[in-house]
Amino acid sequence: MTITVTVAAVAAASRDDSADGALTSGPRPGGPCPTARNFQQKHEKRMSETVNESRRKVAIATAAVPGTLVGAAAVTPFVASLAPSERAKAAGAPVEVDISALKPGEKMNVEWRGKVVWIMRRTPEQTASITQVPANQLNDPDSAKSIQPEYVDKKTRSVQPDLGIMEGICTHLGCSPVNKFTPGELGNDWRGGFYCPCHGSKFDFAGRVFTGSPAPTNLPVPPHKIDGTRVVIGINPDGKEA
Amino acid sequence: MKKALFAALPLVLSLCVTTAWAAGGPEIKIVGATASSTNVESLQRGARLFVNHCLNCHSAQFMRYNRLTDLKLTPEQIKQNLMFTTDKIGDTMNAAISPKDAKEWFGAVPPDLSVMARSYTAERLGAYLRGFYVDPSRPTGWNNLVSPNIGMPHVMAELQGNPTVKETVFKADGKDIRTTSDAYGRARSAFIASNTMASFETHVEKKDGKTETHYIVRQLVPATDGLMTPQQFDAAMADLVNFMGYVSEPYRNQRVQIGIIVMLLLGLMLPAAYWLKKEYWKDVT
Amino acid sequence: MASANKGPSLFKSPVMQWVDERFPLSSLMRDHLTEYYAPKNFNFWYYFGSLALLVLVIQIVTGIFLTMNYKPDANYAFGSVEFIMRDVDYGWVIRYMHSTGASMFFVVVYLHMCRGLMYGSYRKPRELVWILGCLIYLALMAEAFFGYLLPWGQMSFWGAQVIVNLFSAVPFIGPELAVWIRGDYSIGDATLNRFFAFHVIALPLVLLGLVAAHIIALHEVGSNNPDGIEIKKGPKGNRWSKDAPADGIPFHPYFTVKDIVGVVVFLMIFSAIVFFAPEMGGYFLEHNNFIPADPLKTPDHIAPVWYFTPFYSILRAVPPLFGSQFPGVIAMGLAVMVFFALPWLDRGKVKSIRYRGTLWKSWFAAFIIAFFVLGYLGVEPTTVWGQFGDWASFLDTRDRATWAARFFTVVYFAFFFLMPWYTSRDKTKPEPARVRYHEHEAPAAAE
Repeated sequence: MTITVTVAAVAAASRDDSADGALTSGPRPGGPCPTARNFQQKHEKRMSETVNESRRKVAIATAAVPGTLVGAAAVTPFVASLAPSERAKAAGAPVEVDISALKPGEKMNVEWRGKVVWIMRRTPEQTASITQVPANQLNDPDSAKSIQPEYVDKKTRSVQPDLGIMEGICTHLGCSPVNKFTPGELGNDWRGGFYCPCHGSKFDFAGRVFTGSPAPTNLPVPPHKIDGTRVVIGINPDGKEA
Repeated sequence: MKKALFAALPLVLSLCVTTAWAAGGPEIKIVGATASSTNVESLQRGARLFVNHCLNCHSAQFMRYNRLTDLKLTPEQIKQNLMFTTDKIGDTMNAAISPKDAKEWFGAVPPDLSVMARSYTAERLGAYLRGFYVDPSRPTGWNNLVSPNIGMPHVMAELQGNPTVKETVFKADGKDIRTTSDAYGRARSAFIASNTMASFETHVEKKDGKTETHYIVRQLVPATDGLMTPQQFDAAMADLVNFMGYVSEPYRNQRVQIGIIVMLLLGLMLPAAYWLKKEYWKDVT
Repeated sequence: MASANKGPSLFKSPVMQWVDERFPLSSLMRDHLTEYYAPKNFNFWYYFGSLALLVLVIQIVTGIFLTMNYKPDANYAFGSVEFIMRDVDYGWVIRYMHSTGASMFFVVVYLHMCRGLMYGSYRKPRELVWILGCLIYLALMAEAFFGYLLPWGQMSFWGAQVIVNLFSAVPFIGPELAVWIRGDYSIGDATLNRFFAFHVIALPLVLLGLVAAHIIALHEVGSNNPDGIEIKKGPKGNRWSKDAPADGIPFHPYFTVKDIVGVVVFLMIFSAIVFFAPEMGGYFLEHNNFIPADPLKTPDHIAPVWYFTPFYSILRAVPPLFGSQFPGVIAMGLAVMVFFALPWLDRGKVKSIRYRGTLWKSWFAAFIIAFFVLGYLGVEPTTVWGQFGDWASFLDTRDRATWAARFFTVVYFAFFFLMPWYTSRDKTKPEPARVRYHEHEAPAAAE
């Protein structure tokens, strides 16, 4: 609504700039307006004394400043209203998971903000396999381009090496990769990991993507906090919500 | 300018028509304290009363627990002291009993309290909460001065004790009170003079083709057998009403703050716009 | 170069000139802004046209954002409004703007109409402008009525119930008609859904079309002014054009900068309501509407929102005839429709209140008082002023307020139906040859 104010003020300004020659407008000093001159010479004389173009421009600028502020204030609630509502935020609140029953080599799925999050208890062999993968076989071995919180190791992509937590969503087009844990399952040099059935992206146990996969980056790691056998997804170790 | 002011009169008139709300029920003399909506301690005490006494049967299904951080409470404090029906702080305040059970017990689902202070008004809410009295003729054993014969029992009787009511009927009897208007005058002055909450009711009866009018004044007799003194209970109800007012419009303080900023912005805009107009209209002759 | 415009382009930018060659943008701007010559003597009352447009924009923008979260379902409607108020960021601002805007729309439109009455803006050659305006008013009433059901509170529900039931007073087909309108045997989910459709799509489209037609028609014949004389019939030639009326000045920039002042003042009043008193003491948002709709429990006192109450009073004032409420419904409808006939009822020699005689002024004052009193009585129960007592049993209704409403209903209609008589007899003052502009009257004082 208040945009109208600003627009009108700006339009008032633009008229002086652009409409000048086109209209037989006000008798400005030096401006060519023969019709007006012939027409009301008396007025013209008076106008040249009273109409001060530069004062008008200052007035426009003066009105435009609070006008813009009012306009911005008017737009704010509408823009803000499109953000997730309190209900959506409550539904997207941190998810607490008990992992005491999770055995080595097992993986469980947790839903957080409509996304699937994997929690995997890696066996020592699986953890070891991560370090054995040659860096040149990986797109982003040190997770420089990938999404993960600051506090995870860039190679194992975890806080505790035996506990892998990542979003089970392929960074290519959003399918969920499947388990291919058995070494050799996808060729002789396959040490085990995940495979995306949609377009064949391959990931190691740390969720790092192999070269030749369409997926550009590693599987994202969500913010999480590990507290013994209790894992909270969506919260940082310092207790701050994501 | 004067002309403009005069011309604006209808606008002003149309906005200032006196507030009137036909509430139904008897006329009530309200006696009781109120608390300020910016008094955080009062709101916190009110919240505690609300979750302990109201939330057993009523819900506030549009109010989320995490919103209570408005009252300078940490999420941990909210979880430990105020949340009994859920463990998710993002949840809304739902009643402890299921609506189905409630319907079985009370005959109707107790109304939601989210916006109760807006429909019933805070003033009447305060009077209602203080208006319970012992009435053996009611199934619950309780009646209420503000909403007579309501189904709700006095859930805070433990705190307040058992208030009773003193009922006086003013009727023309030809002796002491000669005429109906005399009865009316006496009833009014008794009603107005009451230093506790009171109600005033007019009864018109048709008897043998004649209409008989009498006036009933009911005065609350405060109880002293509760855990709280009458003064403490009065203050507690002020806190509770204050909290319910907050629940009905949790963003109210924010609303006023933003409003002041908006008015300042527009106040800045006004002289600038007026100068712009003056500057352009200089050449209109 | 070929151009869609009459005259040279108003723009220097090549992009805008490219547009100008294909679309009459410059011509439109000339016709409606820079070369639309409006009388220079507009006063306070001439703010309300542009303000009505502003409120329309506010209502459309806030309305769009409300529909993003509102649910037109009897089970969720009430909750979705509270959801908007609490869970959506700044949702309460948007909702209060919409609810305040609804009432302020009527405040502004009533003042705009009052201006038309005062200065004879409905008279020849502006009959069509007036008729289009009356149609806008009708569409606005329908828009407000449909919108009022959407919060699904007690007043929403019972207000709609009462108004729809008016249609059952129509002889012969009444009851079936009411069921057809509701799509159910009482106000229900089907009613809510169709009212939603009318409120958010059908009527806004109608309103926008009518508003465009209203403005186009106005700019064709030119604006009236507080003196009620035609500037087009006066001398020609001003600083901008030798063909334009001498007393006209370009709408832009003169009235745009003037209207900005009006807009800022209006926004201050509007914001004060939105932020400090959104309920307006129960007049803009009624207390009972914070109780969810309950088909089994009627509130103690049902009154329409304040902007409908003059007509509601007229409805209640007319006694039933042969046991039918229909005459009341007819009277209420007539009270609105009679505005259409105004251009042909007024036979005055002058248009403006400034040159009218005492006769017209008295009738006009009586009409304004009647409108306010009827409006007030419509808010209150008919017993508001008490009863006459037993001695008045010969009156079919013993409420004083009902008889007051009857009296003022007669005044209301007399203002219109006696108009041909009193306007032709009115002792008018001579109109000036040129419009009165304050600097004309006191040339020395200016500057």
